[in-house]
Amino acid sequence: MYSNRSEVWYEMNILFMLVSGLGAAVLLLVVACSLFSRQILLRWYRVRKAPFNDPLRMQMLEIAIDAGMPAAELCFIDSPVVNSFSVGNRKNSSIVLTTGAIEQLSREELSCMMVYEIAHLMSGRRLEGIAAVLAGTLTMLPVAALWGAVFTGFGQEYDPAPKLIKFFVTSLLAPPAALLIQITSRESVKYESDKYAALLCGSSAAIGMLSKLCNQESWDVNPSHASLFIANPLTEDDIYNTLFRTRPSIDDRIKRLEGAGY
Amino acid sequence: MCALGISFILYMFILFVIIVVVTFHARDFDLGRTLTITAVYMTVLLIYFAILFVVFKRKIDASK
Repeated sequence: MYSNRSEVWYEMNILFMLVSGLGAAVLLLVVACSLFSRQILLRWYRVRKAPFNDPLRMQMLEIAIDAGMPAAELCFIDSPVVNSFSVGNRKNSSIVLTTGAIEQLSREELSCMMVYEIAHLMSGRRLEGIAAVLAGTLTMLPVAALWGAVFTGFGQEYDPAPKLIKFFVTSLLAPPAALLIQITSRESVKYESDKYAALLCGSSAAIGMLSKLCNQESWDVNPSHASLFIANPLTEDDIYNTLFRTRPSIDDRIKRLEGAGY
Repeated sequence: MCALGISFILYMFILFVIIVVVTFHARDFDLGRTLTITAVYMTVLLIYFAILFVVFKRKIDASK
């Protein structure tokens, strides 16, 4: 039992300071994410900006002008997977293409991919980027816990103990992170962006682009960022990855485009 | 939804840790205090998981 009132008062003060400190840290993180979500995500994936005279950049500028939107910054990520994502708002945005997409897609299909991303930016889903950074910070912590366990003598990264610690932290943090992602993402935006891409580039190019996104090898991205990509880069092997599934399947998107006949 | 089940069990483990820490700190096991902590924690946890279940059920079923 607590022996006296002053001890309880002291402990309540400590608890209050801890809660206030945590609240202030979360508030600071939210403000930082809302201001710098684009820059954080671009740095996260170590993207490189397209050179000024890059033909793809010119192509993207033409599309942006046709769409009546300020030009987005074009960036590339080195990855063999065909995928892309966009971050930012209507005025200040970036479109990121993988090198796999540039190598494997035709010119029309690449246009289609960029139109999709521009349509996505035009829908004003800025919250998605902010939520992705916030949730991404949470889903990064299990990896930090794994390495913390490795460096504090629980074994190597392939040993059961650090893996168990990582799983424990994932189990605690994945549901709130996935909740944040699910609340902020809208499935209709994906369908609308597909429709916009098909209208501007033709349904055959849009369907060709989508069909090349099917059956790819998985890409080890942060699960919280999966909703930003044009196609889900995660596999369903990890049970927690299913919680981050926000987009309709590629087959469903192709069927919709075929049915609409743009 | 298997993922949510596992998370629920692990959140219960956190309750166990809280009770152990409080009991050790007070150097006494007080059933009333333990039941109060459990009731408050479980109420918050059940509401939280109800929200998670509803949101994931709706969103993930729609994305299939």
